[in-house]
Amino acid sequence: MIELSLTARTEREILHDYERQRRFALLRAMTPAFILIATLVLVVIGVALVLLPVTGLARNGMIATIILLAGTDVVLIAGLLALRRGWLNLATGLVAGISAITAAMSLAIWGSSVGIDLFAMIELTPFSIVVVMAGLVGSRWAIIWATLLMNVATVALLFVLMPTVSVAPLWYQERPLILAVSLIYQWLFTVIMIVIWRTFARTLIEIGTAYERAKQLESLKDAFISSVNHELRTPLMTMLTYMETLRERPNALPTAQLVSVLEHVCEVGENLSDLVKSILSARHIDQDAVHFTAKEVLVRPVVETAIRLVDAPRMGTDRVPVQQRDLHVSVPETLQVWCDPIRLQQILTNLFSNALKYSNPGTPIEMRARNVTITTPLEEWESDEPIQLSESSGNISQRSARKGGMSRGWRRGAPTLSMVEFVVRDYGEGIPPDQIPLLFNRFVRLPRDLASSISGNGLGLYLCRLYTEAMGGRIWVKSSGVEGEGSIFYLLLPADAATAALRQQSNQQSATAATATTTITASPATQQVVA
Amino acid sequence: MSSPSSSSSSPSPSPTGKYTILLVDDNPDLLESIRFAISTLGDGDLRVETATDGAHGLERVYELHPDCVVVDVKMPNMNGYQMVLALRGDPETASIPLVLLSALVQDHDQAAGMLAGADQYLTKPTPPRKILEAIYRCIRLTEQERQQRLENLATQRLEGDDEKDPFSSFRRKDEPPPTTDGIWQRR
Repeated sequence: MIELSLTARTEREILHDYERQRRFALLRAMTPAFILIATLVLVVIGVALVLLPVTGLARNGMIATIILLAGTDVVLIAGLLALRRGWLNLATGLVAGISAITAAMSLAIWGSSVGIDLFAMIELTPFSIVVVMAGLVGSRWAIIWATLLMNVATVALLFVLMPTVSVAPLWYQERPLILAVSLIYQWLFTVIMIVIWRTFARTLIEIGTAYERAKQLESLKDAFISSVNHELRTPLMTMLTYMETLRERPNALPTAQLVSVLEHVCEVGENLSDLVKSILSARHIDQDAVHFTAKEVLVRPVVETAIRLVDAPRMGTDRVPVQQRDLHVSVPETLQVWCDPIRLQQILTNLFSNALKYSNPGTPIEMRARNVTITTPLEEWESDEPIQLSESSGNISQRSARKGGMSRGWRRGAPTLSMVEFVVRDYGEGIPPDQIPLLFNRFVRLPRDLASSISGNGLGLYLCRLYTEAMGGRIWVKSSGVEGEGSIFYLLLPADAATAALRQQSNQQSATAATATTTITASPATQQVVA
Repeated sequence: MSSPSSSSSSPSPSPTGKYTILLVDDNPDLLESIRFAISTLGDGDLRVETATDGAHGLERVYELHPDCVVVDVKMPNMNGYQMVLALRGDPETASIPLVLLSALVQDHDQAAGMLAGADQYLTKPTPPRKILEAIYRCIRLTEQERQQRLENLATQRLEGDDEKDPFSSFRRKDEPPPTTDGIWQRR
């Protein structure tokens, strides 16, 4: 049996994982280096203390510095141990915290023993280095917190510490300037680190997401191959069993029965050949998808044809007569869409047959088409489709109006699109939300379906997406994954040639993507039941 | 089903057949073809019954007490492995010879089938002659051998002897061990 751990991880999770790995590696390399530097400085000061004749306050300051550095080493080693245990946040806190404390304390020690002098000014530099460090090992908030902390330390130290006699007049004169400039520099580093962090995070998300998707698709393809293997072998064996039996006993049956057996074998063979063709043609689909002839099409006749076709074709062992199901279709009689009618009919047939295949007999299937006006980038538009499709259409415009009122129309560049929205809803098992992002890819079938007897080649929704996008539309699905709540498939296609042309343009320069809220207005649709 | 053979072409199973064979597979076309092959090529002593999923198959076993069960692995409701385990777990059905017939051709699939307690593991497509051979090998176990198998099974349960080949009781003395008889055989 096929067991797959198919969990499409969210971008946030992916970022979190990769960030963690990066911080881990960084801390593992950085902490020993810090320990080494602190120890070296400690040894140098120690040697100086023994060899040079230092007395009084300076001597006290050197001893305090040695104690400070020893303490720093201890905390850094603790951080290293925490890192080895896998406690990343503790390690980050220890290393970043002790760096900040050491930076502030060394200035404090110098200032309180010798007093503020020119050397003390150099001691202000590590304050900014702490901000950089926080940026390397922490997140945005770590950077901001570190900056605030260092700001407070700077202000406190510069006001508490007394200058040496030689620089005292100059010190009181220039102190405001020194304070302001060091705070500004610290925030400059903060801004630089946050910008670096943001671009880095975006790159990480993009690469990480692509990598994860590729990995998942690979394992899904493996699962698909083993499933298609099953579907090829069974009809093959059916044919061979008849053939070999008849070869051995050519006279086993009277002619009339023989013919009907052969007819049956041919039928099995044709099914098999259809399956093989559909798998092989998937290679060419990508190129074929762009060749279509769009025109103004009345929606209703296409929907009716699509429904008829769902009913007619051989669907392997899961032939489900559509008449046994309640099919609620609501399409305004005059509704028009700009597309290739054959393509639209193929997409709808696919959506209908999926709805039939993946829901229990007796549950209804609902379909509706309507006009919508979209003023946001199409990729971000969310239908406000009410849960119950059979609600009166008057509600739609109310909801739309409310939603439109809330929108912030500050984004430029999104042209107003007149689209036709198709909704196909079933009340079946639904789709686990974490598996939705993969659904429209080639050869993808849900692990649940691979293990069941429902046949499929993992191409239907892939085709739907290719065709839809080629015609300037968009297809997506919403499902809670709860059994009985089913799934809602949405399909948007341009309503007229002008919109199609606009979409064509935006496809070519599809560089813009960001967040925005929606403004939609729906033209009230007339309720029509076709079947 | 619109299969023309289901009504007209398949010779009706001979009700006087000495042995009852139960075929379990979720594909009715395949069931029909195997039924046709068995009744055409068999020695006329086989009565073929069918079931289209694991749970249904299990019901039919208790109803018919077949002499041999041929089971597909990938089926709805209850898969082949589960069905084999269920049959082997009940003393009433534990001695019924079982043949797994599956499209899963990997070594580990076959091993899983044998570990569940199947006597034979055949991979689709299997020539009809091979299926018949497997069936006959199963049903020609003598009454004594069957009794032996049951007893062995009982003693193994009691002793909890894991060292011994747990499925030796399901094989005839002269039958080679599974390592040379199909489990690891690659097609």
